[in-house]
Amino acid sequence: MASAPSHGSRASHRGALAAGRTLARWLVGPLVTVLVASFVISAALALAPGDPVAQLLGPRPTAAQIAVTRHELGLDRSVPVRYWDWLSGAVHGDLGFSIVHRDSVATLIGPRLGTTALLVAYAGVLILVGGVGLGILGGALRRMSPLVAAITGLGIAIPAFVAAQLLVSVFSLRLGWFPATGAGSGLADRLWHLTLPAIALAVAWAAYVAQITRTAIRDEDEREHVETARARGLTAPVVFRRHVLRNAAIPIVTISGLSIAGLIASSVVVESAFGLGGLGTLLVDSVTARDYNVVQAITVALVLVFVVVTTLIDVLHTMLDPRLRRGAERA
Amino acid sequence: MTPAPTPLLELDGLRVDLRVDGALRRVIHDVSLRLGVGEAVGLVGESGSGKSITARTIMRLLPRGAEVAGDVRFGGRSVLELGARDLRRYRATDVAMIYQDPRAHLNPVRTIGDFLLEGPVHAVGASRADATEAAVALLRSVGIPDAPRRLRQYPHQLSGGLLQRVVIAAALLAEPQLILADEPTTALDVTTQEEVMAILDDQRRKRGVAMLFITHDLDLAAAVTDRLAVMYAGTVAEVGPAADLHRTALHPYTAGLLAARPSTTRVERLTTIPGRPVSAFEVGPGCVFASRCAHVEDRCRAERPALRALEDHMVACHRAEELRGALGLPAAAAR
Repeated sequence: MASAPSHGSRASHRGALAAGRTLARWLVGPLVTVLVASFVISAALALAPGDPVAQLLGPRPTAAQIAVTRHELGLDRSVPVRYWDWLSGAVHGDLGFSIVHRDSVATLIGPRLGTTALLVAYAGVLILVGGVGLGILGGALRRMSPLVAAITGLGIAIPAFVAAQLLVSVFSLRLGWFPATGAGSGLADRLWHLTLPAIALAVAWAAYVAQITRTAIRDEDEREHVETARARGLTAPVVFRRHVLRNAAIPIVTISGLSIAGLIASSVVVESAFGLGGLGTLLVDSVTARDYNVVQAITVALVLVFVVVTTLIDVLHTMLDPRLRRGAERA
Repeated sequence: MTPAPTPLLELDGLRVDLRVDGALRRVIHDVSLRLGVGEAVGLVGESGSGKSITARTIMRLLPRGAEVAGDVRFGGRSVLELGARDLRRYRATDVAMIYQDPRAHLNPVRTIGDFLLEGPVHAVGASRADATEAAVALLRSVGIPDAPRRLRQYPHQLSGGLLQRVVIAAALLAEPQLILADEPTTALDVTTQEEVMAILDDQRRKRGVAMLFITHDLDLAAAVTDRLAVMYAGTVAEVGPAADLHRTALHPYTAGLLAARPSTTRVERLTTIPGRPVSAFEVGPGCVFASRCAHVEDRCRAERPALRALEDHMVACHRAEELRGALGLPAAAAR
C-alpha cells in the first residue's frame, strides 16, 4: 500500500514518455521526411541540365543579359541558400514566382488543386466502396470468390489510359451520358465531369485493393482464433464481424491508404487524357518548360500528401492493433 | 466398472475422411468411445493417431469437404444431424474446447474481456453485467486475482500460463457438461504446466464436468482421468481403467507405449516400438498395428480386429486372450 503513490507517479511518468514518443513518431518524423524530401527536390532541380534563363530570354541573349536575369531569379546563389529562401517563403505561403506564367505559383496552383483533389477524392471513394466492397464480398461468400477473382484480375490488367479511352468511347461518344473532356463548374457539374476520369483512375487500384481484401479475409478466416469463435457457438455474422473482418481490417487499411496516395501520381495520366487541367498537367508542362518553382511546389505537395496519408495509416494501425501500442504494460 | 446407463457422449463406429488436394484421405478408421456424465477419459496416442480429429469431429469443426460416417451422440442426440441453430446451442452450452496453444486461439486484437464475454453475451444471450460478474468470479477461481484489470488487457500482455487459465475460465463460463481438452498444457512452460493442469482438474471435478483429455503423455492422462483410450493410426486400440492400465494392458501397442515411457528412477536407453508410426490412410486391411507388432500372425494382416470387451477393458486385438501376461509390461517386470 505504501508504494502505491510512487507507483502511480511512475505510471503517469511512463504515460507522458509514451505520449512523447507517439508525438515524435506521428509529427516530428513526417515533418523531417518532408523537409529532407523538399531539400532533395530543390537540389535535384538546381543540378538538373537545362537553364530556365535560356527559355526566358529567347535566342542569342548577351552574357550581361544572362547574368542580370540569373541574379534576378536568384539562380547565382548556392543550393542551400536557395533552399532556405524557398523554405522560409513556403512556410508563409509564398511558393515563389512562375517564370513561364509570370504569376505567383500559389495563384497558379490554387484552382488546379481543387480539380485534382476532387478527382482523387472521387476515385478514393470508388476504391473504398468498389474495391473494399468487392473484396469483402469475394472473401465472405465462397461462391462469389472465383467471380471476384476474375473481375479483379481483369481490372488490374487495365492501365488508366486504356480505361480512359474505353470509357470515353462507350459512355460519352456512344451513349452520351458523360462529357468527354473538361472539368466543369459548380460541385454537381464538376462531379458529373469527373465521373469518367475518376473511374478510369480507380479501376486498376480498386481491383488491386479488392484482391488484397479478399485474400486478407480468406487468410483470417482460417486462423485458429476464428475456429475458437465458431467452437463457442457464435453465429457466422458475429464471427465474421468481430474476428474475420476486424482483423483483416489491418491489411485492408494499409492497402487502401497506399492506393489513395498512389492515385495522386497516376492522376497525371488521367488528367491529360480527359483534358482536365489539374495539377498533373501543370506539373508535366512545367517540367518541360523548366519552370522550377512550379515543379518544386507541386512535387513537395505530392510528398506532403504521401507523408500525411502514410502517417494516417500508421495512426489507424495503432488504433486497430493493440500490439503496436507503445507503453503497453506486460504482465 | 459398468458404463453409465445413458452415456453423455457416445462415439459410434466413427470414420472420417479429410480432403487432401482434392482426394479423400482416411484419418479415422473406427473410433467407438463412451463418456459418462462427469467422467474423465484420456485419449492417448502418438501425433497423427487421430486424437485431435476425433475432438474436432465431436465439435463438428472438421475442415470443408470432410466426410464423416458413424455417429457422435451427445445426451442421446446425434451431433452430426444437428441443424445450424441447434449446433450453435450445442457448441455454446454443452461442450467447451480447450486448445494446445492459447495464444493462437485468442484473437490478438481483442481484449481478454471481449474473449470471455462474447460466449455468454453473443452466443447465449446473457446480459453484459451478469456475464462480467461471472467472468470475474471464474477468473478468481482459476487463480487470477486482479480480474478487472485482466479483462481490459490484450492477449499479448499475458503469459502463456495466464492465457490458458483464461481459456479454462472461458470454457467453464458456459457451464458445459463436457470439456474437450486438446493437449492443454503442451505449449506451456514446464513450470506452469503442472499448475494449469491442477486448476483444470480441480475445477472440472468440483463442477462435475466430464472431460475428454487428449494427450500423448500417458502418465499425465492416467493422473487426471478415470479411463484411458489408446489410439493408433485412426483406431482405438484399447480402453481401460486409468489407475492400473500400466499393469493390465491387453494390447501390444499399449504395452509398447508403456515400455517407451522414460523412467524417473533409472537412467537407461529408452525402449522404443520398432518401425515408424503409420498414418491411418497407409494401413492395409488387417490390424492397424500389424506392421510393428511383435506378436503378429497371418490373421492380423488379413482381418481387422474389432474393439471388444475383455475383463474391464475394451481391446482391438485378435490375440488378446493368448497374450495376457506375455506382453512384458514394465510395471510387472519391475516388481
